[in-house]
Amino acid sequence: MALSIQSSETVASILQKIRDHYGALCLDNDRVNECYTIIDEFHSNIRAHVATKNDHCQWSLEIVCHDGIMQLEFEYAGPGFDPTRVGPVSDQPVESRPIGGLGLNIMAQLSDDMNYCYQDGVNKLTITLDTTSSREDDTCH
Amino acid sequence: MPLTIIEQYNTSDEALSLELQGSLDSDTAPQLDERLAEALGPSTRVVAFNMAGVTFVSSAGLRVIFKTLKLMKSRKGQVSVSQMSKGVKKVFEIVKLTPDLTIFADQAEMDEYLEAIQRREEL
Repeated sequence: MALSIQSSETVASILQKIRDHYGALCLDNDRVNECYTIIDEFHSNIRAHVATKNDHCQWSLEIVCHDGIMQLEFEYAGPGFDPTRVGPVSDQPVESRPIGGLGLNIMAQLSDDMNYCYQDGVNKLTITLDTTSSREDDTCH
Repeated sequence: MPLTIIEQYNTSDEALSLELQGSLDSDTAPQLDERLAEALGPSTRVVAFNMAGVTFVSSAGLRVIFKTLKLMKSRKGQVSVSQMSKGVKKVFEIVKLTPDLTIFADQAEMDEYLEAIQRREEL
């Protein structure tokens, strides 16, 4: 049950597509919201760091959900950038910390698994979330 | 999901209380940023967010809260947050923002806190 998304879509429309496509599957709501957060992080990073240098920047997202395991596969052409190589969040008090640079940490921490590869000028990031992992209090059925 | 921002009541010149409903993401964060820019006065030292209706938050939304927190701290004030969902709280914890925030489990606790600020101001 795959869902393909293209770069021309807004975050709101992407999230609505996911709700429409997977709504009936009764997935854990907290984990689905984490999936939305990850997609928003990817989308805003592309807008901020890739699309500013390349007006024709194209990216795609393929979502596959099987037995409650959701796999997000992001692809975009451009210089290689490995988002899994992210430093830790600063322990400093808020007054002395920079405001930005938090998105990649959030993506990494919310994912159950995160894999990156760069081939033929294409960045490919695969993120896995187990949406069955916190369903002890499931009231979905 | 769009973001709805409701100014619950203007408790005092010193405190601003906002209820957020919807998602706080890269689409909606600028809306909160603009609203805060309009609503924060020169003497505001406390900003309270009721997040009971927030479905999810990303770093774009956190940046607005972070910016507000930095401003309030520079005025020896604070930012308080109430009724975060488990998922929203998790994101705040990942970026290590929770130690710098005043967190309330429910709105009644936050109201009590804001009323105490108002009483102090009236003295």
